[in-house]
Amino acid sequence: MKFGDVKFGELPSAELIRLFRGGIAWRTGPYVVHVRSPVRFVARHLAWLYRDFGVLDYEEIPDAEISVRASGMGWRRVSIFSDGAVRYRRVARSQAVPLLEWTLNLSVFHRPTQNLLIHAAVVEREGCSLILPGEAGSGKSTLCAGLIHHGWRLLSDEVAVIRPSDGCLLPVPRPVSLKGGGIEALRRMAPEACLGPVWPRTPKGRVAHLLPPTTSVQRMDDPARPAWIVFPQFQPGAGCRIQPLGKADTLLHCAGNAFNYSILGRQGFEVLAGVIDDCQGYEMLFDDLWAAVDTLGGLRHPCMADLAVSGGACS
Amino acid sequence: MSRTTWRARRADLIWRDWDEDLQIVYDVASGDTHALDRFSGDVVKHLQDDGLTAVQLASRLAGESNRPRMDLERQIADLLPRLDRLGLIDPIS
Repeated sequence: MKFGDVKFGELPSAELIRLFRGGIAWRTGPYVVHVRSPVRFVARHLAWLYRDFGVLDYEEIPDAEISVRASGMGWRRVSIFSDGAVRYRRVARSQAVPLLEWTLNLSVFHRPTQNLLIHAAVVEREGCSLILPGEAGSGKSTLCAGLIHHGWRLLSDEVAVIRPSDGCLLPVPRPVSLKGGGIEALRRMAPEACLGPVWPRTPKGRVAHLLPPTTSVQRMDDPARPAWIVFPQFQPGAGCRIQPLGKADTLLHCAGNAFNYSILGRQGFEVLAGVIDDCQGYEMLFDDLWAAVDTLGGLRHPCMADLAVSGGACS
Repeated sequence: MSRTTWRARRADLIWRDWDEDLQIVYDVASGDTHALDRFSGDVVKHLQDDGLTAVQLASRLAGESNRPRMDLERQIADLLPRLDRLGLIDPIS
């Protein structure tokens, strides 16, 4: 077996369980994660969520090592460790998968890097990417899930990874974490969507994971040029309204949503300002997923015409 | 009117002006990002070039606007301490 070419979904269940017991690594965009889980329940769910990802050789140096250990009476609880440090201790098994996904966010995507990281979902169409920054509850994940079922490619549900050399967005496709009413909203819009089980009573309420589309995983090495930055806010009764946002305000809001803008110093400012130069900024209120997806589908950007001629800008 | 002379605290300010009501200035030394209205931005830019009093600033800016000189002097006198608190300018004499 050559590692990297074999997908989780192609391995027999017994082999997956064996690999997870010893530790298994995979790559999402520029990041390599290594997860060890002797807990079969967790291993089975992770194998399903990441079924299109290639299993890597152990020689790859991971950006984070996560381990799940059974604990408590009758092994009904689990503890989650990141690089040896405990992240969650003796939590119910029913919370293990969502908490492990959040541990991956914290351990991998928030670690020091030269890339500028903004808390945002990112999708792409015709080579142009749409950045959706937002706090928890803004509706960005629901919107992201709706968009990837209507012609957009998933780059990330959690973090916009901006490469300093050219301002392009690096894909980090992973399962989309839907919460609360977003789960039903997506089911109504896209009954064919591959949604996992609903995990109740997590720290963020009900959570379900949407499988990243196979094509998004296959294209995890294709960056995209930034074109639009939309700050979404789900607000019942608001209808769907979008209005342009000035570039100065767009920059300030992005800086406020960035994980490492201050740490990068001058480079962080220059990278972000360069992205803002190229992007159109908007604020959007929405209370209906269909209307929001339609509205965003109507966005046009000069880079679309450029790409049609040049055949692409990022490599 | 105060005779205090002011100067930009640091020469290393990076400006981003998209021809909007706000200008962005990044202070390399402190790592702070500020959004300034156009008038405030113009004052700081003048103080990057020279140490100036409020009266001298008003004289320079009068040529760039149609506003009465006295109005400008008052507005500048109010503005300078605020820019000082942001760490963008310093009194030098």
